[in-house]
Amino acid sequence: MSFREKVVWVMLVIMVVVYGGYFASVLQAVNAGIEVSEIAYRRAMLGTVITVVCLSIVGTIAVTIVSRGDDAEDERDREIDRYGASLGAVVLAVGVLGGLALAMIGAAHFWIANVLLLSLVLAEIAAGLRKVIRYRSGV
Amino acid sequence: MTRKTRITNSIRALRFAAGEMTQAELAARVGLTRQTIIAIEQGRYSPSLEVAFQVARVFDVPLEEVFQYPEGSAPS
Repeated sequence: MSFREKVVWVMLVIMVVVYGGYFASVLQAVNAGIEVSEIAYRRAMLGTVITVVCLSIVGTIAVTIVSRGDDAEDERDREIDRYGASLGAVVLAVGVLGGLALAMIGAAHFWIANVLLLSLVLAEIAAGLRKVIRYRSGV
Repeated sequence: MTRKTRITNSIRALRFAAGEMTQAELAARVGLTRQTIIAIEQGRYSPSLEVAFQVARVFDVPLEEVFQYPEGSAPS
């Protein structure tokens, strides 16, 4: 497995686990019938984003150590990266349109903020999945 | 959705003929990762034309001795 592919896998796991935890707790609050304006999501959201950024840095360093410093990337890595990112861009655009629509109908900040974060997360996960599939299946 | 490339190559045989050159050594000489050399040998990746020429230079053979394309495969 190339260095870049390992990084993609690590990022996928971090995203799914950390953001999965955040959205699970937010959904739990909504399901518990708490008024969305009462849900203190801001601190949790910022904390989650910062956690993901920190874990990404730690994860990349860990992969570099495991790869014994061989962090080379080549044309295939870059091609696969673009191939995955192109799907992520579409997912992100759809999500942002959803956020815009929510803003236009005057939805609560809670929903707008969370839909925007969700689209960022889904975009990254979609891109990552497409990359690992490409790494495995090829061409 | 796997698009299997129709390009075949003789890199494994050429490596063997070149004193059993390792995948890692070939990778280093053409600026690719070893994983990409593996992917090319398995037909899972078609390198850029630039890299294809570089591989041919390493073995000191013409391009078509490294990479082959089936006869009569003009794009439809």
